[in-house]
Amino acid sequence: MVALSDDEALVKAGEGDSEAFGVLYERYIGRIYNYIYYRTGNAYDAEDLTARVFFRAMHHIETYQNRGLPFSAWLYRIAHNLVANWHRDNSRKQEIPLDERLAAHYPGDEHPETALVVNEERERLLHIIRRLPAERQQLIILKFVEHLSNTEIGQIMGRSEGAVKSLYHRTLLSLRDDLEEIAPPANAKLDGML
Amino acid sequence: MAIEHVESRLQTFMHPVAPPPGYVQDLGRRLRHKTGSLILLPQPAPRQYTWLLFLSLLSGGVLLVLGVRTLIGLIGALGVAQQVKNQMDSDYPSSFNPAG
Repeated sequence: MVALSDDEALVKAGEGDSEAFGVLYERYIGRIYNYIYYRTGNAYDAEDLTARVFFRAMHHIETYQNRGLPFSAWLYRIAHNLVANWHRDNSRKQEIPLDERLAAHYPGDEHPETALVVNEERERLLHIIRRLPAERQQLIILKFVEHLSNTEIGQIMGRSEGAVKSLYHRTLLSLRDDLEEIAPPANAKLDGML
Repeated sequence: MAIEHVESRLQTFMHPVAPPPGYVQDLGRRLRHKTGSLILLPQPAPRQYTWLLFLSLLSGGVLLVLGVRTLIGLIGALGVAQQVKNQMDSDYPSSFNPAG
């Protein structure tokens, strides 16, 4: 069952085969969770919204139409819409910082001051990223977390490869301006550490 | 700051984050349970929708005609019964009259 291609699994899942849907679930749970995690900034909401994505996908799998795009594009679109609703509903709440899970990527043998500066810089960068328009956030996450190519990103976002390249360049320029604007001394300090 | 520098920072700080294994298993179990309890009805194609609509209208029309015919038949039967009764009353006007 695990060797099923996406198309085969989709056909079977559309006929009510729960095992086939399970194959798709196991294949994409990590990617969808990552996307939502970086968009919301905390594990609790990432888990809640990821569950909603897969429940919604399961309920509508029989109406899924293969238009030559990867199945993940459909899932990302559901995730994108749910995250947009979540941001709208939480727009008046205080922004929650990314939890400690990301800090686990940094070994504990760093000098405490270095670790502190690195953590601050990471928080600042992620804060700036989350202020970007939704499609730019999506692009950054797909490129740097999912390591997808411009072609794959284009398929997911419904844009041409050239449009993705152009958007990526504009996003980098915007990030550079924001990074320079917010606390340049800390950035300069970090530059020497990285 | 050069753009390459921004890319370098993104590569440094953006990492995949694995969902908790317990969460993945639990959600998978909930989805499987939910799928098992779902009754998946085959979705009719658009052409089937047209046929379904046509046949529904046709059968509805037939039922309406049958209903009207039954009603007319009933009214007719009642009329005939009433006529027979009136005729019987007029044929034997004094037969049941003890005073006559």
